[in-house]
Amino acid sequence: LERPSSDHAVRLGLHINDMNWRGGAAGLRSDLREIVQAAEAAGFDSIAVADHVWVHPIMGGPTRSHVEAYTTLGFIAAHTERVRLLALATAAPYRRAGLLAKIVTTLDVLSGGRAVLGIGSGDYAEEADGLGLPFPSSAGERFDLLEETIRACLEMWQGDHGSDRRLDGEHVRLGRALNLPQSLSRPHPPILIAGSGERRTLPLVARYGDHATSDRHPRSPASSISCTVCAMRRVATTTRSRRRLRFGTTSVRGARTPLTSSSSYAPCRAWGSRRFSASWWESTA
Amino acid sequence: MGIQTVFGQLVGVDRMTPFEVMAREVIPAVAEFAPS
Repeated sequence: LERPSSDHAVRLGLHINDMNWRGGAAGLRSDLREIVQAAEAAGFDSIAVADHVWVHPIMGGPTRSHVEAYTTLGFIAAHTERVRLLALATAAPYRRAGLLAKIVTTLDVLSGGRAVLGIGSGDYAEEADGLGLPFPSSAGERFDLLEETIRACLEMWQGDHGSDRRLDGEHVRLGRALNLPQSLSRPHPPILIAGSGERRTLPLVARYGDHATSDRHPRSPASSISCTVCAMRRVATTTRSRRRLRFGTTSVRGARTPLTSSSSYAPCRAWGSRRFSASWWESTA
Repeated sequence: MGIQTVFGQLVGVDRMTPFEVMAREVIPAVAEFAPS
């Protein structure tokens, strides 16, 4: 496969959220290596994996196989050279914030500066309960934890070894934000915040996010991306003038959505027409 | 604020054919599609 030029105005990311391939567990190592190398050669800009310990019900449920996200990203890093790497999206409650910052920093260092922190509040209570992972039952508490986790990561990514400060949050505590080696990505690995809620998620994007994702707006299914982008513009304008919002995203569920039928999104229509399930769309300020 | 990146899943990703189609048809089309 020939690699197209790298200065695409629009980039494609490959989201791998199902690894139940023909080779089974024994073939997973070689299958995944071939797939990510083919994706890089084909010209994909980034590769994302789902952060679940069980397959999400929308993808077939917990009796299907699923591997751990950051271990998988380390493997992908070792077998690629260019693509950006992220979990889409890290469930904030599953890992202590300090450890998560170390994990993403390590991925960034060992991949040569290709890590992205994709993170959200988590949405799969059954898997958390099944494996005994932390998962506050209140959505509000999970969002508070998400925000404190992001703040802790930013403390860890300050300067050349972290802020070295103490962080005492309601949910997250760092005695000393010391991070060596520091991430290669400067000022820090990009932060992608998953979700679509106007009350909690979009303000978090406005305050901390470099990237954002969102599902179709539940109250405006016919105008998903315009609604999301408008909401993010509003939040960015009112609360985050000092930061430049790089892109937001929304998702579509198949080829017959307003987005894929729009002539403005011809490449995405082509994707849908080939039975590729386009699911995430990102935009830039 | 225009579209910059599209994340998607590929059906039959372990058969490699989708990557050939992506490299031949979709990614070049995307390359000509400037953010709005």
